[in-house]
Amino acid sequence: MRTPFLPPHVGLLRRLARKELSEILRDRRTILTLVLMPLLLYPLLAVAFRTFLLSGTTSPGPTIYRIGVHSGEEGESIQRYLLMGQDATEQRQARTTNDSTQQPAPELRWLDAEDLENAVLGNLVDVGIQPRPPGPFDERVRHGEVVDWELLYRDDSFSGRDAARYLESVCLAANTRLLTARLYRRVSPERETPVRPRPIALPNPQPRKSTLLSGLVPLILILMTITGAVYPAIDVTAGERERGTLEILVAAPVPRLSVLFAKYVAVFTVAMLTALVNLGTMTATLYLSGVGEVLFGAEGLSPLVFVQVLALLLLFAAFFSAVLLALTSFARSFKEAQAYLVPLMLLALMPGVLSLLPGLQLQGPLAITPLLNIALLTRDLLEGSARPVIAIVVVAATLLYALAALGVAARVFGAEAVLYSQSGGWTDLFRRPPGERTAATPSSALLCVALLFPSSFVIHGLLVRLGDQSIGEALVGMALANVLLFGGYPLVAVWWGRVRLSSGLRLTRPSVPACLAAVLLGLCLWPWAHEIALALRNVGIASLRGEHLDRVQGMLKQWELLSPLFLLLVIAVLPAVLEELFFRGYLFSALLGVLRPWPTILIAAALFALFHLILAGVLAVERFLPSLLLGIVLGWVCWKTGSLWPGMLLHALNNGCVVLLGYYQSRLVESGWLASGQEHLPITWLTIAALGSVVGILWMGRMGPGRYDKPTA
Amino acid sequence: MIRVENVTRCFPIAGGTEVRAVDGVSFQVGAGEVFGLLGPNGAGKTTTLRIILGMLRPNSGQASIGGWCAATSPDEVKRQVGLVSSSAALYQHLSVREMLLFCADLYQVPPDAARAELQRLAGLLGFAEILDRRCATLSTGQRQRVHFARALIHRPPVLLLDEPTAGLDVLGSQVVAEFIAHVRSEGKAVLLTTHQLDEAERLCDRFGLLHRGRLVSSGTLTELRAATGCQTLVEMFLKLAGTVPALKTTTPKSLRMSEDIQS
Repeated sequence: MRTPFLPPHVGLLRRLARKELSEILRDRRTILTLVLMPLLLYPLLAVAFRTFLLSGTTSPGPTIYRIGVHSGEEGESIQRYLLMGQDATEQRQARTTNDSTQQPAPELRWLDAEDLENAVLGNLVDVGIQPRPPGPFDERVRHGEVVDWELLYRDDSFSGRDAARYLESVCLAANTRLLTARLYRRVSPERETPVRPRPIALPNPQPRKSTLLSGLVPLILILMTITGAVYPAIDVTAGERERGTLEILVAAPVPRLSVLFAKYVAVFTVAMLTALVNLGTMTATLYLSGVGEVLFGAEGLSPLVFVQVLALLLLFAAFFSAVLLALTSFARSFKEAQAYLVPLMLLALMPGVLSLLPGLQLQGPLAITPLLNIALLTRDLLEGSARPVIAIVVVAATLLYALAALGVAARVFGAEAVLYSQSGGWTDLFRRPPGERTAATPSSALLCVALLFPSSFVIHGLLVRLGDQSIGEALVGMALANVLLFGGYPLVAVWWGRVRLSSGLRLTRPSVPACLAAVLLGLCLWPWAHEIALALRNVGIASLRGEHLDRVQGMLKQWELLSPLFLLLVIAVLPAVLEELFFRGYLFSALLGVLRPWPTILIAAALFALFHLILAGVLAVERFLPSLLLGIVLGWVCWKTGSLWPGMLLHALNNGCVVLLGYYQSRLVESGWLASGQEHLPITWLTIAALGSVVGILWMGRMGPGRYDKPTA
Repeated sequence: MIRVENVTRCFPIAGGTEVRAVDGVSFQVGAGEVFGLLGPNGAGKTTTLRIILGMLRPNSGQASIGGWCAATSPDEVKRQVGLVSSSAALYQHLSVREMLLFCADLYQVPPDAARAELQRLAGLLGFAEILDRRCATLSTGQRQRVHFARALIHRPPVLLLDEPTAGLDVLGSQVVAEFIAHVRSEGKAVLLTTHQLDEAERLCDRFGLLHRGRLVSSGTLTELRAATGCQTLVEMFLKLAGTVPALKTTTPKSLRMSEDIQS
């Protein structure tokens, strides 16, 4: 039975999703999780945070604030003024409140400091008071002059913020008393406020250290997003099955995957709304309580960070909704689904709790650990210390995990073994198919991609870290890793899925003209990739900095120690063969069974480009577009010829030309073929490349679409 | 309309073995005919229905409706069929109108036609006054009517009724009987599965007796009587299934005691 992977009727999909959403949003339990929980949780959390933050600084008895002033008369006049204010405050409190309920007034400890800013930043004092204009001010105030007080405190000091607020109130009380006295004595017509306090938060120049609390905020947001998605996910799958409403959908002429996709959209929407409501409430609470600024600094809760964190939560919601659907689709009842989700929640908590460890850096394998990577990246975003390379790895890995989870959900949802077999279990779904297939299923292919990305990241990261190895050893290591990843994964998947090699990997024999056209394109396309990368760098779309480029130059020098044949084999031919085997062989045929050719070409090319984005642990943004364009051409060639071989030839020649150019660069310069210090290729080369590319594309374009087989199931 | 040819379906069970839920079943149902597929629980009635509807693939044989093969063209088959199942439920949080229009939409019925058909069915089945009520608030009888409307909203030529009277009282069963009579008069082919043989006797034109996945006999009541020498479907079924009624040979102890007291 063939079911299109992408829904054929968007309108139907929309109506299916609307029905799912109506059902979910009319349920009181959803509203409870969506709105009431955050409204209750976050204010309580803010109180808990404040208590936690202040617990280290307070002791039984009155609160003590350390106030820094300049020594001498200036300090003394400040003390006198504040004592007057404290006295006025106490008298007013005595008049208005009962003795038994009266709070003890905070105690002010005076410390002399010459450099108030340093004293505040060094946490020697909670607040430093700096009068403007400087010097003693009693006389000036008496003559009706106005004095400004700068109340300096550190932005991440909770006691500093509280002390500044207290001093502000005391100062205003002193002002009131002074103005009242003037009115009584009618000595001065001045009604101007004598002292104007102005709290100033000094940003801490030290890098903000991750604390338990700063890790807790993202974790709570993630857990709340999960909570929001759990109930709808169970309800639209196991719940519908238990109630018997799933039969209505299964009996209707609607593709099973459209139904699943609508359910996914509904669960994702609720998860997204939950994330939005939680983030909004959390931000408001942190802002209003002042805890946010203490934890994350003044920039921590800016609109930009809000949007970034929201986007990250949405990404996480997309991933987790798919995981939940995959899991709950197995369940035959609400209870069974809950039983499946308990281990998942515990499993989700483990990396979440790990993310609370202060000082835990988001790097290496942590960047590809689901949930933990999102929790740590959210924390880094809030603290303003997120790194783009790692952020891209986290986003890409999570996207691929989401795709893989959707693939599994697609395999599970509505499958006969799950819908109708009373004794069937998980193993039925992962059993090897009984008959041979012409191509892998899209769900298997997506699962393969999702496994390949983190494996590739970890293995290449390990190779880079191994360090003490010659360039030859490093290249051999890299080649073996590629064989393992791009060769091993598809071959195991093909064997497990009983996929016929010739059709599943598109190993059919190509025509001679197809190969010749591919050779022409392979020889002529690489200059464009080079020029596009240069153009991107010139307009600022580049992430490889000077030291990275120097490292590349150093590597080219080391290449000269090796045989060009070895280099061609390891860097040009082997990656071309393996990457084509995976992207245009295994993945391409799996997608082509359910998608039209151009979406297949674009998806395979985008994933191909994604894998080229990170070069030896360094983000190379400028590689994305050339890789994407090359991937599109390779996909197009694969579709037109119906075979993997021409694309492989094209890819190997393209890589080979680049390798040889790097290897013989100095000799080409010496012999005048290349200009020294010139980044662009000579115009003659580009003209020949342009002609060759046009001829190659026209030639290839004249060939009819290749024969490809549809999957059997 | 409905054609089932030598259909077999097995399910794997624990221990690596499999159970044959449907075993070489064949029968046909014509337009305007009500065919009763009868058998005890676990006989394979629902599995047969699911194969006919294309929800399950048979291991061998094939089922078709109006010439469309269920295994290869499930969507075309589903468009021809209205299904009423005792295990199906209504969307609790949607109103009756929303639910029925949504179901019409699933079958690509144009909105105007769907609204007109909804009004016709609401009048016919007598639920016009509850159209805007949430399904969760309906009584069992009202739900039954809405189920029938759901099955008919896309005007299918074939109706599959899977245990439609399960859990219904006498009045509810009467509604089902009237409904079946009505759809027969409209020329639809009806396949009814039930294990209530007396009720089937009242409703169906022809019968198929299923036992342990096999169709042990089929035909009209007269044909079955002639073939088996039994008067009622219950007797026929017991005879064909090779099961001897327990009460005829062994009298329960409680009954013997009451006989003793009388004597």
